Amino acid sequence: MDMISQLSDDLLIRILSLVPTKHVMATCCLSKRWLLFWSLVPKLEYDDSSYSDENYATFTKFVYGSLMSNKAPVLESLTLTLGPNFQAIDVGIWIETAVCHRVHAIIVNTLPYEEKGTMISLPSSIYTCETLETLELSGCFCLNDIPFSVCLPSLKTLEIINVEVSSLTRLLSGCPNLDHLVVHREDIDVDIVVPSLRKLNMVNYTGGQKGSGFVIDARSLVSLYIKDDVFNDYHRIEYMPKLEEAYVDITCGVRDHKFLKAFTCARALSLCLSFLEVLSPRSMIFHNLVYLTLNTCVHGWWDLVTHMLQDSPKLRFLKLHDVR
Amino acid sequence: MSESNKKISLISSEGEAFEVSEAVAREFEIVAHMLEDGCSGSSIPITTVDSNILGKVIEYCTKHVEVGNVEGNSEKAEKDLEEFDKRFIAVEMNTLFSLILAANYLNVKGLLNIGCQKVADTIKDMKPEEVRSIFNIENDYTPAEEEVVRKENEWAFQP
Repeated sequence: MDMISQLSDDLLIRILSLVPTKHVMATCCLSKRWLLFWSLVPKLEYDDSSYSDENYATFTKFVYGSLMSNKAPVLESLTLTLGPNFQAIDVGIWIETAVCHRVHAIIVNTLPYEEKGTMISLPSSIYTCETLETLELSGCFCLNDIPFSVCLPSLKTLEIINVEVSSLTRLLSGCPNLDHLVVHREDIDVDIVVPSLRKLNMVNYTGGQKGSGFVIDARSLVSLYIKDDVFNDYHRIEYMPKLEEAYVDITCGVRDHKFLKAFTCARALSLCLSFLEVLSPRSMIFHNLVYLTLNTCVHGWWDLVTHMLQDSPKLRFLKLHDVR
Repeated sequence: MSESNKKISLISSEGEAFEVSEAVAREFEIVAHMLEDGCSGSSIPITTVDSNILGKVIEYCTKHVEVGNVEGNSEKAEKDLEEFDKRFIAVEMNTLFSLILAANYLNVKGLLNIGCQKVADTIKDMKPEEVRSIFNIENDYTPAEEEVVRKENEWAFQP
């Protein structure tokens, strides 16, 4: 007896949405009933890393064929993992097609820029996509034409890793409901002023130049991870009343210890900070702090630990470590 | 989570009663809705699910309620639960499909997810012929028709 046929169309489509698109397509020859399903699967996932140079054309044809024929009422996600052969123009068209299908999530990973040498521009329609909830890009993207009219009212998760962005500040200004932001790149120069943001993960590598700095003004922030080794003119982080945990590693020149005021609500703190001025005593109270980890490789850590012990009435766990 | 000592009997299609705590019964969303709609009876018939499968679904929900009630060390608990799920869903195909149908009917989302994932993982990396044979799917194409379908979607059958 044909067991799988007891399942309803909805259940079979649900199962197929967990399968990479290439294998979904192959199910169309199983039986006449299965022929109806592939174009209704709401998640499209393509990976060309297993394709060699000569059959990149096959991969492209496959993506065009299945993406253009998709008839799912709502396209939940488009996921692309691209090897070295991709053509930027194709990727732009695929993303634009997904936007036309009112896509909820776009996830594209490519090799780092140095290995490829061509950049993908996003189609302008993506910047006003009302349905987009998740955008994750890594590698050869160049977002240098973000319009002033950027408006992504549904965007909750934004992840950009090693992507060139001319104005991240402008992009963020169009994301009023952003919940989770991940930015890793060289010389980030940004004002993160996002009242809805709850999670931020920012890694700023130095490109060898002196940076101007960044501002974080996110009053709903619950979790913060920041690693920054750029020699910046300023770092300004505003007070975060809902903060629960923070990892802060800023190696170059925090001038002012009042900087720590932003973190006084946290329950768990991990700090790697060197101060350019001596701490003045009794300046602030860390009234929720239970877990504290301090990196002892930086200048002035002893002053910091002394003051933190005095100013953290609930502290129960102190970990000192030396990681360079 | 609403916690009470109240017991509820779930009656399988064969008429067998399974006594469970209200918290476990509420994992069946269909039951949770009945309770919220004021269904006060202490026994609820689950007419489309047989004793064998109902017992398994209850085992799944009981484990998840137990783990959900333990405070602290959430990472380890999560890992244990993952292990449990993996073992729980490693069943032969007939049982797997029955579990999916039951989870869908009773609206037990976690179980439905792991069941669908298990089938999806089985389909991945298999040739259509193998999928057909493992799921016992009857091929109702004539050889000529199948040839046409394969030809039209040629790119899906390339290595």
